[in-house]
Amino acid sequence: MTKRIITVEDSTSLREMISFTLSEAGYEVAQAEDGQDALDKLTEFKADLVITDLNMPKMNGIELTSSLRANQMYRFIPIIFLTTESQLQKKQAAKEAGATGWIVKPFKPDQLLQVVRKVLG
Amino acid sequence: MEDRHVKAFKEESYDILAELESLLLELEENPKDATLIDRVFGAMHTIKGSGAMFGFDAISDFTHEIETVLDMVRDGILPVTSGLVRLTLSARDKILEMLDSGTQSLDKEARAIVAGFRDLIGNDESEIKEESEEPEPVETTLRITYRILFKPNTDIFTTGTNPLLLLSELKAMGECTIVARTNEIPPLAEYNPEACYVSWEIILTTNCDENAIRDVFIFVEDNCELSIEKIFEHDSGAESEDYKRLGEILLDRGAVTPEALNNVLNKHKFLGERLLESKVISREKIDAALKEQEHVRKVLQKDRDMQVSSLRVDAAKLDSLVDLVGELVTVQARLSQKASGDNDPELQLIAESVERLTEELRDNTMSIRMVPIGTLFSRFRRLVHDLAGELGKEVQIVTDGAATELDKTVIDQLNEPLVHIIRNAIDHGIEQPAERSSFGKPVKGTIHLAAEHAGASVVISISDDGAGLAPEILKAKAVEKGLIAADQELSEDECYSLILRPGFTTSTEVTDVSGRGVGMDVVKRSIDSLRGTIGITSSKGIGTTISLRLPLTLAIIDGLLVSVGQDLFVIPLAVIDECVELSKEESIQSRERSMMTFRGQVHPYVSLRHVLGIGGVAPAIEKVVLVNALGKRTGFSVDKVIGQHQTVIKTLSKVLGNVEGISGATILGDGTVALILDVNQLVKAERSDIQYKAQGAMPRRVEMTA
Amino acid sequence: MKVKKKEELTCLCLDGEMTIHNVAAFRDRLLEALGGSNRVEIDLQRVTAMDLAGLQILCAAHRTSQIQGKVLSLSSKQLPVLQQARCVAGFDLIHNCGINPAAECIWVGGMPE
Repeated sequence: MTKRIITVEDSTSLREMISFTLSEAGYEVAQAEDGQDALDKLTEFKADLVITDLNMPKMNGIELTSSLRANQMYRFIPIIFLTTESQLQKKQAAKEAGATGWIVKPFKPDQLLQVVRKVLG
Repeated sequence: MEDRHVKAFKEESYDILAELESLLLELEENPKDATLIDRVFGAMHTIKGSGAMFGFDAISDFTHEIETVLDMVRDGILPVTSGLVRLTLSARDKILEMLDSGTQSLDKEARAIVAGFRDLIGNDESEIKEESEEPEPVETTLRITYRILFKPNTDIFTTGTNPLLLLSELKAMGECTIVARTNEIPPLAEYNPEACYVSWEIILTTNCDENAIRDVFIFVEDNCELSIEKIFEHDSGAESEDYKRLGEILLDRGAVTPEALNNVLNKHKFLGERLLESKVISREKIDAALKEQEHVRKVLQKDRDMQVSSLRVDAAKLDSLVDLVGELVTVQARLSQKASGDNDPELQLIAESVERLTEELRDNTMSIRMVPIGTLFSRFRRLVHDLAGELGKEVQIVTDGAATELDKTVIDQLNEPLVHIIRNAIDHGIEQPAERSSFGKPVKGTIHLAAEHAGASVVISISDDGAGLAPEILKAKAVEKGLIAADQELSEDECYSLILRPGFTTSTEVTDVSGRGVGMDVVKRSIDSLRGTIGITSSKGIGTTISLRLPLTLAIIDGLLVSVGQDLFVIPLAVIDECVELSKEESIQSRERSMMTFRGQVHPYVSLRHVLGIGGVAPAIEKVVLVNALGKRTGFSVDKVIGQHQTVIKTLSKVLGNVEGISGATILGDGTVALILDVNQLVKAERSDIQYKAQGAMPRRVEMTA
Repeated sequence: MKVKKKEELTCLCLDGEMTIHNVAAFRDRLLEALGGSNRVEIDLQRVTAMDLAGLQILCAAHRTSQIQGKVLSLSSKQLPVLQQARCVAGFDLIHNCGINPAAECIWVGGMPE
């Protein structure tokens, strides 16, 4: 069964790059511009994995993670967040909110897929 | 990277940079506005992150420097000054420029901006940060068995983690035994469906190191208890190792105290059962320890099975196998002979089958020990390359006859002497490029390695096109060293041979490459021990060739059986061109040399009777075996040609080992002994007019080194 | 999920994904089945996915039955999704969890050699 991934990122170029990489690898991908957009789309798109940026307008990645963990449907879904080395505090906050893992920006397509396979099997 | 993605990134960056410009201008007006500072920081951060991902590494590095300063501004460590804003604005312009040019490096202007930012924080030492590549997981050749304890926190599921995926990753790293500890699973009434109650003990045998194992757990390290312990190192060479006994494992794991173990050990029965009965330990702990034992034993067994696929056999056993095959070949030859004379079709059929099988058996047996010398040659390419580099010379290596097969033990022992000879050739033989061109030689020197079968031998020659050896200098040196008397007369060849003497070295300077003290005498000793010989030829200014002639100690060769009087000889078929009859009238006796005409050409021929000092009178019609020796056709006259014969070469005993012209002996089907002729040596001896004189008649029975 | 009562033996047919996402519902079905019978046989034939949470709850159910002095067994141990999960999770133990020393562990057998 094709695994479904939603990628949440306010940078269009980055979001499209991630989507492209994942689609090429055979995943079904949805895109959201921020946390709120993601929550809206996730009611229709039953995702197996969420990849989210941390800094986003409207709802950031940490808020998104917390609200997914409070939602019975997505309580146990793997959530990967995108971070940079300089965001140590946010990384900790994201983990406490219930994130599964992270990818350090900048990353290469292979590194992205490696992490996706690690948490998705 | 798709172009459209790069294009999208650029377009997005233009927007961000446009926004950044207005943000900065606004910030100059309101330097205390925290939201503005955040947004400026955010814009830089986005450009930095995306830049690296879309191949704009220079932009990413550049922005990193600015971000560091802006981060301090955001934290209130640095104030917003008009200087900072101006600097940031010029940085923004620079980013725009770099975005358009797609440059991969920072120009002078960019470096000046970076320096400006560094000045702001009083730091001018730190290097521009480079993103380091993810290190590849280290695979060591050593296999290690680890005991891994993994106890996830009970709330691990609410982090979206599937612990089984982590276990699968471990499984993929090597031989893995996973034992779940389930004793904390409560009954349903107390069961929290969201909790993880299981922990694991994993025994993993892998080439990966401990860090690679830790990497598997990188996302859960704050969410679990993890211990990784090295419990066994697998030494692939050891064969009789066994893993620890149960008691040792339990003690090692701290599952049982030494006292309790000793108490129990005083009774009889299996340890596990005894421990259980005495209730000092739970079943689960014993089972886990037994699993560990089973795991390691299984891995060890596999290691052993692997070793079986290539078998180490005592060379003596192979020798005796070769001897037996040789005798079988002899018997088979008699069988075939008998069958062909007997006019019994059934017997002939059987004889043919035996012949075919014997041949296959012979080839197989021989091939067990034979290895192409190319494997040895190929090792020297690197050596030549490195040595030439060290000495500032240009040298190429050319090889011939890499497919020539030699006994493996011989090849193994050839490595060192060859290394030594090649070192000498590059160090002392081949001149510096400038010197070479002044002589009109190609700047690049050549080392030529060649191997070829020569009868019962393999000749390996190492030639260089260097300076060559100067006999008079060699002689002077030997006199100086006290190796020879000053008035001793020496031929050129004898002069060359001086370099094989112990304590002889011509190099006046000590170089790293050849060193001093150990010289060609070491090579001589190695080749002697292989019962080979060394030949040296050299021409001043043209080069030197060192030939190693090595016996095929175990070879079975196809030979032609001939007789002179009562004695039987084998001439290797490989060197034979033709057999012809020769009547007395056809031979031309000119002084000591015998010549014959054959197909209109005059060929020299050697009387075996004469050269081996065998008595008696030659028959009226002799047979001449024409051979190709030392590049020329030469004939050997014999009394009779008996026929083709497959021969197992037996080495002569030490007493007879140095008889020139004889490379070995063989036993015929009826038990008589035939000597195998070394044609090259015979011809050489004849040519250089060193008349071969055997000590009396050839022995009828030759002592064998079985 | 269907519960068929056959005299004393209750056959509990579980279906769907026995994973962390819906294991709570399985707990209720298992409790119900054990509450109404002394002998429960669990049929996993129609289970399509199994993860650690699924294995764990079957183990918990078995413990419950032992504490209550009842018998609980698995009827479809050869099921590939079950075998696969057990193999990775190391649930092929031969020891007894100690609640009832006379009873066999639910994870005995059913694994390929």
